[in-house]
Amino acid sequence: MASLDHVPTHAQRRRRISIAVAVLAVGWLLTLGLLYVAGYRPLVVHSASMAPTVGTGDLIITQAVRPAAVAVGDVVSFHDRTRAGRLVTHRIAEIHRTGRRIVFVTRGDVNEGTERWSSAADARIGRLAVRIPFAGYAATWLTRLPITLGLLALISVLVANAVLAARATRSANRAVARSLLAAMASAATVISAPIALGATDGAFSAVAANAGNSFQAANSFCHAAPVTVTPNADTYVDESDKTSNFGTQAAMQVSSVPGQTMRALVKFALPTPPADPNCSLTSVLLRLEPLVAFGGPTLQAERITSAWAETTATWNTQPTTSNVNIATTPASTTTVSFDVTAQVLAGANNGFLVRYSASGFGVQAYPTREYPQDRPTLVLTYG
Amino acid sequence: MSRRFALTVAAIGLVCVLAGAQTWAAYRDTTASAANSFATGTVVLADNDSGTAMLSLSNALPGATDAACITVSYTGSLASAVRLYGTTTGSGLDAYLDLKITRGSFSGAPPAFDSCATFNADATDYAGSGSGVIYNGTLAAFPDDYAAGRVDPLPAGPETWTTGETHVYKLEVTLQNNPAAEGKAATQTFTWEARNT
Repeated sequence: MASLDHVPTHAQRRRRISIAVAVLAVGWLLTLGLLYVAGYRPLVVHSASMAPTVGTGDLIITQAVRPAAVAVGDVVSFHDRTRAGRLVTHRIAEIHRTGRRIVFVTRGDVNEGTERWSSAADARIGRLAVRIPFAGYAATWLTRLPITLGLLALISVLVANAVLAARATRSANRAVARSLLAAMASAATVISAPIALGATDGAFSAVAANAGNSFQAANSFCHAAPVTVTPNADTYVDESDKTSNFGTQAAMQVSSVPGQTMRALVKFALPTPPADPNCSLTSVLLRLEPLVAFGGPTLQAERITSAWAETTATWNTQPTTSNVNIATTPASTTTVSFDVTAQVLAGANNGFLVRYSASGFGVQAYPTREYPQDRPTLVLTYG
Repeated sequence: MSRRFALTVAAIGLVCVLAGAQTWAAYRDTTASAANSFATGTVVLADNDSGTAMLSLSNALPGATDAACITVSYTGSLASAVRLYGTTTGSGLDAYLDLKITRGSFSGAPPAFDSCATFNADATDYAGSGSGVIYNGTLAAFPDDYAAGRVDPLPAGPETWTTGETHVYKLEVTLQNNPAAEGKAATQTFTWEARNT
């Protein structure tokens, strides 16, 4: 049995407790500081995008290493700029060196999508070093603001009590100093934990992809130039002069005044298609140049489906037309252009009949092939 | 004197605790607010292609075109942002292929995969290229990863997808009239990727 001389007094016990608290707190801070300097960081894992390797609520410790030190398969933490710069912890799938930067492709083990990011070759990135399952839950709870404030309040009360108890001793100032030292170290410890503790965020991804879309261009395209031809026959027919032919006139007229309707007839010798088997007709334009400025009413070009002759066509013998693929265009002071591609592909060897789409419009004249300039043209484009 | 000193120490401690609370809360909010939440949920995105490619051009001449529609659906529990991008392989035909992607929906019962019958474009002119158009350019210029991906529908107003959300995309590709494209080929994967926000 120990003698009473060896039983510590209350003051001695307080002194030993103060010293022990101070030593533990300083030890914690020193350890934390050394780990920090060595590049280690504690992180709470917030999602299961790396399950089962790392799970929600785990506490992981990463070590800062050179990018060249990591390998495919390592788990690293990085700031993902596609997720507003949040810290993400995923596995490296690919590594590429581009100049002085190293490009990483990473992916969460449960994810379908990947992240592509880069790091300077002389920078540091965090590589998973230690995983403590579920410790992140406890660490998060302990570093909550109310808990931190409560611990700091408790330290304040204990310091006050210690100072009061030291009042009766002869070495009051030394006791107070020891208590304050222990208190400061404890407070620093309490505050350091949440500051040191980081988090790696939830980073899930999923992908829907349509693969195998294949595109192959022909080995040779059509190189034939567009071809422009002028009419081999053109005239007009006049309702007010139903038996007359105007095939030698230098202009063909269009009118839709009731009883005085006029319609233009124009025909072309279609050119021989290019010999290049890669060529096909892609566009045909019928163009008329008005003699006098005249805008407003819509004109239409109809495919002629029966034979006619420039020197014999009259109102009474005018050819028949098809009402399929009628090309329309507003009359214009400049070139009137009809897209007659479909009509030519359907067979337009008998040419086109041009008239107003609506009734009530007066005479408009267009040069014929007998006119020295601005004759009708047919422009054929191949592709 | 010692009692007064002790009370002063306690008071200073408590004041420091209370004064630090506001600063501490602000710190947590700005740097580690996410640390207060553990994410549980899923991000799930699917399409209706059953593994079948939607576009194809073979021995194509200038002006050759193909169009197809695909339905993309989100069934994850976490709200997500979706981006569209693709990867290309081949001998360089992508530089001579014009690609137009329009987002919309089907009116009535959806047709079989890749048919665009009853497709209606979204009314919004997202990119200044017409109603519902979210991309209009060459296949070569189409983004090739998520970071550069086409935000759905626009970078200025990215849409957050929630469970049950479905959109139809019409893809049209046209071969340019450029002799430099002769004999070239390209193979393309179109990828929609969802990431939780």
